[in-house]
Amino acid sequence: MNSRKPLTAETLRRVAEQLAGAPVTREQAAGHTAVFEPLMTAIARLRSLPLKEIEPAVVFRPEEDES
Amino acid sequence: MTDLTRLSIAALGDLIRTKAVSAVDVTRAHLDRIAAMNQRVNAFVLVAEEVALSAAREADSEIQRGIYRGPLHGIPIGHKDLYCTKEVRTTAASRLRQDFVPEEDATVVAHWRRAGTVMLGKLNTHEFAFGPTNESSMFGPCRNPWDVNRISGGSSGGSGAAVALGMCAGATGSDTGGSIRIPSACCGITGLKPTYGRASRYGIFPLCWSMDHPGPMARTVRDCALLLQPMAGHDRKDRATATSPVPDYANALAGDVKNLRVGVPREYFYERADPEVADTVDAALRKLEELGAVVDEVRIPYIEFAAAAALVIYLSEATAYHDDNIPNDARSYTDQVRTFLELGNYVLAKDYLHAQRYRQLLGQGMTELFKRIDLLVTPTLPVTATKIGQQSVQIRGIEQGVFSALLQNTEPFNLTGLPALALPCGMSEKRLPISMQIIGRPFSEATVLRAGDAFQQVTDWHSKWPEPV
Repeated sequence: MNSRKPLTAETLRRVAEQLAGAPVTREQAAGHTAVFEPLMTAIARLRSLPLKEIEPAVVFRPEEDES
Repeated sequence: MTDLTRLSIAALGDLIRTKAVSAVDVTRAHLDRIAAMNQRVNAFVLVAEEVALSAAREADSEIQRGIYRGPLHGIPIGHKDLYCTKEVRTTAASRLRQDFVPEEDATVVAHWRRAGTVMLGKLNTHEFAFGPTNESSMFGPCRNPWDVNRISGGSSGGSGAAVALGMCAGATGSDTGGSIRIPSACCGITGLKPTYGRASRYGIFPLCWSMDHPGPMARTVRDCALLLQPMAGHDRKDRATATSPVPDYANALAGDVKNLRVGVPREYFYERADPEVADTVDAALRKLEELGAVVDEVRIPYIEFAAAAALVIYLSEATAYHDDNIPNDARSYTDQVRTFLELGNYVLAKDYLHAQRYRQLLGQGMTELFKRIDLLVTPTLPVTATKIGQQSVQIRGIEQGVFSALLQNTEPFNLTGLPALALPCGMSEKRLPISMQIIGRPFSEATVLRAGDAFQQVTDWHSKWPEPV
């Protein structure tokens, strides 16, 4: 799903408190929303890229004993 | 009498090797310079005078006994206050670490120490390196040596300002989105972000594990080559470091660029730059052409998505690293850094992975490109140093945030891990430095440095000296 509704301060406050475990005040949530909403718009554009066959740059490597 | 603080590392090294001057003389000259200039720009946040003089005396004693460690022996340097220095306070410019005294050196610090450098002290940085201006620091902003009302650039702002003013001959920096190249450009010095994995990150406070690059900052390309030499190589303490061989970087400076193929990505890098900056870098390209380089226009696919991807990765990784501190110590951070760390709580895991997939996509495009060219050349920044406190800039009539403008030309090469050199190539009408960026294939630092050095052989922008106003 690529479409989304604009972020609200209330949603952000709930995500912070309930999912991230880092509660913020209503005032902080409003401030963060103002900064974060344009970022979310930019971030959402990444989902339109042709990434289907591409693995992320983060690749697990088993730990080896180098001693 | 020669002012020792105006000499390059290469020149100082020759004088020390031939015993024309002592390491103690050189160190004292730089300590005096710090005493005279530091207040203006707030570059050094700790001066380790006794530690420095003791190291300088040791260097002189070794050289007298025929123990010469190489061209960095007795050279006064500074370390960004993000690098752990044994028994010397290391704060990351944050109240959270204001009393932290490491028990061991970062790998790079240890290697520079072994090469004989003399550490003068610690240098200002944007708090935990999380910003490109060096405004947010527990020590206050670092100021630009060319105009103290402007930013030094960051995050390695102390390194940029100190080197530009001759308070130290070279310095460490670290670069996650441009933090070596941005202050190098703002302050008119030379800085190299090596390939990801070329130098160890061990003992440097992380900002973003997958994009942090340690590297050298100095006044000339040759000095950067000398400083990179002991930095480069595999380190068992940093799993990201490469095992590929380390060439002799200074020997690679052949002085010419004949037949090197230079790609010019006008779209994005030049077209979104201030015309004065773009024209100045164009003039530098013509100079490279005169020297024998073959210049051609190129296009980098999907480059316009770089800023969004980099942002997702900064926010996610930095917030993960600081996760333990945010609930209890949030107020100890500066406002801007705390806000960024809190914003990281709202980035989705799938977006982080899309960003990491995008890195591969961007890298594939650049790999294809580098089959046809040897180097890319761009403006390092689309603008000159902005004013302290300034929030936005107008570029070609379009308003843009200062942070995003400063990062836009540098962060694509943190995403791809390619080596990138920033070096001065002109001055603006307002007498602020303008910088060009030279980018190469992975682990082609020698070629990147060779091109930069050839340019500096026939220009004098790297020799301009700021008088702070």
